[in-house]
Amino acid sequence: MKHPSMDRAISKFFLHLHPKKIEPKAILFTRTFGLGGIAALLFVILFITGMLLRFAYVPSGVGAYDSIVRLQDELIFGRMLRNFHYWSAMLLVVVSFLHLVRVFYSQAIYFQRRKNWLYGLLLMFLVVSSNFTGYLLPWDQLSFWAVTIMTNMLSYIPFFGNSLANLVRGSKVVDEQTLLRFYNFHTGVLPLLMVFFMSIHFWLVRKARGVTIPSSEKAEKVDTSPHLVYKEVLAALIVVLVLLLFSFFVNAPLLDKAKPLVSPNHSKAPWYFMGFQELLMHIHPAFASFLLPLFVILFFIIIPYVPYHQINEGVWFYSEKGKKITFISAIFTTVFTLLLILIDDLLLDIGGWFSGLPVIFTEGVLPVLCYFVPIGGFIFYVRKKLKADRMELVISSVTIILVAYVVMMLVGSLLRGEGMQLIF
Amino acid sequence: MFKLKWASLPVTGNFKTMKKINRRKFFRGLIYSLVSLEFGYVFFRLLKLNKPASAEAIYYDAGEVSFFEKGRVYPFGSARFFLYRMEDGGFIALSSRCTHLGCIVQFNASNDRFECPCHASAFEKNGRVITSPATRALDYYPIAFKDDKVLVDTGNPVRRSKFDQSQVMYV
Ligand code: HEM
Ligand code: FES
Repeated sequence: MKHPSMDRAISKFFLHLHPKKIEPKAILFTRTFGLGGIAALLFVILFITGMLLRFAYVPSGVGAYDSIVRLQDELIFGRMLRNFHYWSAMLLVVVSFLHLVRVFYSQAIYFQRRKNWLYGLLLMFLVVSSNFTGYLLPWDQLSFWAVTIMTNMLSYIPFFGNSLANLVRGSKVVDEQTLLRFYNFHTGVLPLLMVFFMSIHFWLVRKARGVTIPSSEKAEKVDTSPHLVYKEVLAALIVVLVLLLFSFFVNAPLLDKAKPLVSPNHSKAPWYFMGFQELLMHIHPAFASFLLPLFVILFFIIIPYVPYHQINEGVWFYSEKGKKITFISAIFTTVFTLLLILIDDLLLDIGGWFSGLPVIFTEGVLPVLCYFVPIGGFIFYVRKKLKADRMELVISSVTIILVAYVVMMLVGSLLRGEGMQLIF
Repeated sequence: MFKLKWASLPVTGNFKTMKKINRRKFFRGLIYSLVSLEFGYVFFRLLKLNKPASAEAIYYDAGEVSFFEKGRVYPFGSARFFLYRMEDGGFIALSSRCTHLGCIVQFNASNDRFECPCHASAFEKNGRVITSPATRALDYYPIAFKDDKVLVDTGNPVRRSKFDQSQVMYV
């Protein structure tokens, strides 16, 4: 570089986050795919664009929609600003999810990184909450009904679901109170919490001496600047450029102003919650919106604390067999889940056949058994026939959960149209 | 005795790293916990519904009893209910909020039933579920009659799992 002082300033800044010297393998793009760093970058972009949007936005039922319209049509670069914020937010959900997938499959969540896995899960929750609270703010037909549907999904939780939904909305239905509440969470509480937990997250990465690499690949360390810093700046530039171009050509959606008395035909939750909504169409709400999510969250929390016989830190998919098992589990789950959705939609009418029995049994226990008995059989097969050890079984289970959710999410968001019927 | 019991517990880890709780630490911990609890509680109260749970009855005047023909459904859009006068002259006021996920149902006169635009639940005129995903009958509102008028208590929707005759009101 021609400006040594500038060079030094940049490197010094990055050295707040990185050590001076670093393992050469840790810099390889395929180690992290830059996902954590991209998430951090997106957070910064969202913070800045969000600050600017606050100058134009009016957080009230009367003013919100019109202020968005004015922003788009009358302010210079207003539409661009909104698009940029919107697409960065959507990308952050995707990137955080991929980052979670990456740290899990590259065995980067064990030993001293356990705690960071937990902070990561918390960050994932905050990312989704931020996106969801922001979703309501335009106050159009899309956001109004999406939030109505999502908060009503909460009210299916047994015992305290209704009070929880009312607590989230600040009212019995989505109204101005909800808007004010979401606005404050979105632009105040949640960003603050994220800055706090991201700091801990980064600090714990450093405390664990950087990202995980297999012990066999340790080598002589190289200087962080320029080797890593160069790649990070390059990746950041590419992401910003692509996002800017995308925001230039693709507009964030905005429908008519919210009409609380008129629901549009087929209303959907935001796309990342569509997996739940799809699940709700097949299984009793006590399972779909409470027991199964609770079970999955608990399972994710204990993953790094299971007593394994062996852990291969930093080795993708743990072993060759692990790779194979991941692949088979993904294929199996995709086919099986799609098949079951089709069968349930077209053929099964369990409620009708056993109409004498309680709903919790016909719509809850039976469909859950229909899904989990074959899944159990599959895991048994993986264990017996492929001689999987405990780690490989956990990898298989996580793959099943993730793939099942993604499949349901895609079916719900892409394959369902009017009246939530399947379309082909 | 008491002391002995504690002393005989197996000790894991080494003594230097074990945290001893002395008075100062105890009070510090106590104060921190109390302050956090206080903040937590204040925040929680701030978020809670500030309206009392059982709102006072707000009666909506739907009109003269004689105006309503038997067997017909009358929509009251902005008040979010439908008034159905049954064949036998009884009244039931149904909330227009779908029990599936909260969309607003519409009365479809050609199918003679309520239909939800969101995920296609359908309900009979008395609120009973015809097609899922909804599993509960539509909520209903208490009705009172005064001076030959039908008054609907729109502040207090009643949850129910199915329709039964006791929910119908007669003049
Ligand atoms: C706002 C969201 C997040 C940000 C900004 C973020 C940022 C980062 C960064 C910069 C790293 C360094 C390595 C890399 O680039 O992959 C990292 C590592 C890590 N993250 Fe995240 N992260 C976020 C969410 C998550 C989530 C959702 C999880 C999973 C539950 C998670 C778990 C981890 C773990 C276990 C590591 C250590 C990985 C290793 O040592 O190789 N993080 N994170
Ligand atoms: S909200 Fe009425 S069917 Fe889903």
